[in-house]
Amino acid sequence: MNTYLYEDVVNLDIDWYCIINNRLVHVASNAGQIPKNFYSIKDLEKIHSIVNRLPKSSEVITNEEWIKTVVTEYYEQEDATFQEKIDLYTRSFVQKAQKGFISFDRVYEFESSDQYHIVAAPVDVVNADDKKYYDLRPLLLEYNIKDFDFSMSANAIDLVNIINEQ
Amino acid sequence: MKTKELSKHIHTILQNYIKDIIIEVDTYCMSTGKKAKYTFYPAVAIGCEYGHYKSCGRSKKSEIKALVRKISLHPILFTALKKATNVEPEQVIKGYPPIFVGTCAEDHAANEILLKMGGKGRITSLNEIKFTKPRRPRTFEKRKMCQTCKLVFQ
Repeated sequence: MNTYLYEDVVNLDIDWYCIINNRLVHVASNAGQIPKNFYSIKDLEKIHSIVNRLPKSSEVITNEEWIKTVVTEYYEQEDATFQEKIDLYTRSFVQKAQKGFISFDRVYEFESSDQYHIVAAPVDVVNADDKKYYDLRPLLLEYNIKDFDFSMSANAIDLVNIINEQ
Repeated sequence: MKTKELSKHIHTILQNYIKDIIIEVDTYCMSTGKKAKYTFYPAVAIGCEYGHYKSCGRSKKSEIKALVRKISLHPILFTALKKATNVEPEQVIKGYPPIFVGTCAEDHAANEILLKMGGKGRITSLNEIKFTKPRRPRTFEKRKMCQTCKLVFQ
């Protein structure tokens, strides 16, 4: 199976997807690792292609506290307002949440430990067995993880390791 | 970094470069059969200039091989990378973490400039190339230059 190698993923900000406890999950790798024995490159590209074509039908809630931390730390464009910087940061994650995914981003400072935060999520619970994910669901890896916390206030989690341990 | 001396134009060029990446990644559709330049975002993009030469670059999958085989790494950059790291730039040194040489957005952007120049003019030192701040294309967040790039370009 042709998968992404370590030397590939450190140069990429890959969108990867899975199902955890029947909830759709999107993750921005931000040069971090992706789980071992995961999708082939072709399968991941196929999933990404299908997700791009999903309708944006969910209302979205964002993790304001975390987003403010990121924007304060990592944006310096003087010609942009604080709200414009927030919009720049959240754009990609909000898009995925509008399609029903709980969307995670990798915390950049913890380069070796791969910690992830939720950035955006649908307001209402969206289940992976909804009929609009009929084409997508068979392609996604599914995990049942006890006590997995999808709340915005959850601490950063070591998502890749948690999945690797399943 | 000599960011203050950069022309405004290079920032616009970088913005447009990143916008093109965003459009391509967000609209990627396998069934069209069109070969995509970007399926996923690169981790970092950067702009650079030397005189009136301007270029943008990105970190990318298997960049070492691509630079050498498809774009051809300019001898000045090749030598500078080798001198800074004691590693042949076309090789991935396995291990954990592996050593990556020539994989950064800075290498890609600077290589483009050097190739554009061809035989015209000479760069005596790579630190004459001026860079924008590195950016994460997905979000436009700022990023840091890696230690190897600092050695080679600063």
